Amino acid sequence: MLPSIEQLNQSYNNSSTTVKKVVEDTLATINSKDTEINSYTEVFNTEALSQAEKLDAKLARGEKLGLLEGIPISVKDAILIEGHKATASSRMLEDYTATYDATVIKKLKEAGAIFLGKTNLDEFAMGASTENSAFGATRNPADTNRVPGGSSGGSAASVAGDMALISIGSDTGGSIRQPASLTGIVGLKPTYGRVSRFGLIAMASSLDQIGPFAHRVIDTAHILQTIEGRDEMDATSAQLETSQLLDIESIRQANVKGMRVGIPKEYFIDGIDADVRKAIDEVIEVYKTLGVEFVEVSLPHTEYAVPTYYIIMPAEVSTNLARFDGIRYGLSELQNSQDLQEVYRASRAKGFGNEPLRRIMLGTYVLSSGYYSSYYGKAKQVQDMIRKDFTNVFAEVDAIITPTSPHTAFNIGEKVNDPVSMYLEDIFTVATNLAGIPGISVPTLSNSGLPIGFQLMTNHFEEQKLLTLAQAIDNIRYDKFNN
Amino acid sequence: MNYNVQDIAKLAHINLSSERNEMLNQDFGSILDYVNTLTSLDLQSQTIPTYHTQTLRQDLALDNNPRFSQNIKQNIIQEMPLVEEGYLVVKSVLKK
Repeated sequence: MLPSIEQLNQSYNNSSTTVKKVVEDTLATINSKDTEINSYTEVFNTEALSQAEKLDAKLARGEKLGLLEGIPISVKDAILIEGHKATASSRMLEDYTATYDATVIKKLKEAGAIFLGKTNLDEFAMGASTENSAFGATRNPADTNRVPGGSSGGSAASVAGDMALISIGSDTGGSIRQPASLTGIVGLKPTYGRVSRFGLIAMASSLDQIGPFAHRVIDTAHILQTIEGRDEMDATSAQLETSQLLDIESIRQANVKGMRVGIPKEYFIDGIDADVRKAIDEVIEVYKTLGVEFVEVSLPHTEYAVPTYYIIMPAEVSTNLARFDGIRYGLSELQNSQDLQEVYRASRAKGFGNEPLRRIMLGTYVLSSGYYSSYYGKAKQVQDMIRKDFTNVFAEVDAIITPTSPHTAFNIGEKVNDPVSMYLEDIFTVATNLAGIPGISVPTLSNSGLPIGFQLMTNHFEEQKLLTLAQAIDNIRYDKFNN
Repeated sequence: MNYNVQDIAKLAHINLSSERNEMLNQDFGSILDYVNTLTSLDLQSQTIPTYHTQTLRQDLALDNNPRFSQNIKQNIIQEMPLVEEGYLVVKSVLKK
């Protein structure tokens, strides 16, 4: 495992390693492993090494590096980095070069992070296995016959396979947390609005949120602190109040004594693998020894979360992806078409893979005249009920604990021809997006077999509580497996 | 549930091959059956919310260029499929 951000920064500043060596070693790992894993769609070899040399020159002048200077980061290929391809793992954008930086990229550049490359995803972030990519499936570093989860599977695999220290992904219904769980790392989906979405290729704008992957919880806190905050380019981004800002030192101390955590009875159902249940129970027992109080709570509309999500999300997909029309950018059949309508229809037929097609069609149907109130209107009503369920529970507890996924990583090809079975992969994660609250997946204390993660959720903008609770188990896990 | 995937494809502006038509005919039924589980809920007393899950500020954006590099215009033009004398080429919108 690569060191933490703080450890790496210390190593740079006390000259026990150089930025160039770390970047060269990580690029060498990508070179040796990624032919099989397929986590990257593009690697920025020259640019990353050039930036590393500049930072080493800074150190040679006797200056110290800031915390994120020289930290090797990969970025989901749905987030724009100016001058680099931004494919969304789709034929539609195979030759598209980003014309500006996403806000998160701008902030990370200013902090001195080194971008190693762009990572694979399910096309336009639609999927739960990273098998829907136009550029081939990504494999799970823990078992290469299995999926890494999705849609940010390339990001998760790059960190789990030590091909990046940090990755930046996006989560619309679980696309950071589920792959983090299946690959054995930490994945954080912040509160909706905490991080600007400007420069993220939109899937479902009211649900999308950008967040980090890392081996350690404290690293996700450092990244969140860097990328969060109000952005004039995203009207839905939030101006954080002082009470909502992170206190990193307090997260590190992870004092969880007296915190109350809810166990929602609707999430601990038949169908959860016995190994997953056992691993979550072990985490709960360890929390109890740290002074955390557990109470059973109820989120009564949980069973309606996935059907609600699979109405609202495709509705937004069908409108967001209407921009890909073969006219202004991306794949175009302009020169092979007789009229304007045919440009649209032929470009979209050729550019979109099967899963975006399914969701565009479904979204078009649920928004069409005569069906709007039966589907979209109803789903918005249920979304409100789900949000109220969480509000009621958070009046009683600080956080909620659940499994992130009902099982460990499944085999490549196992679910790819059964869309409803694949959609149910999001069963424990979508409600978080529907309610707009933050969630994190953290590896359990199990170290046998395939990785298993547990999920914590808190109320809006209570990432301090979320990360403090997560860090408590992370500290114990780190001591258990690294000493 | 009444649906015709060819009609929906027309609304979505996508040509459907016979293979994709068959795939969608097969998938649509099972997906709609699944999302129809919402019909079991009594929603008579619920209004359709017109707000987001959180209270967010909706400021008007200033009409300026605070962020983009100097060559943004050229970069955008480079991404266009067909350009003549700096203008985007499209098929005729109005029929003669």
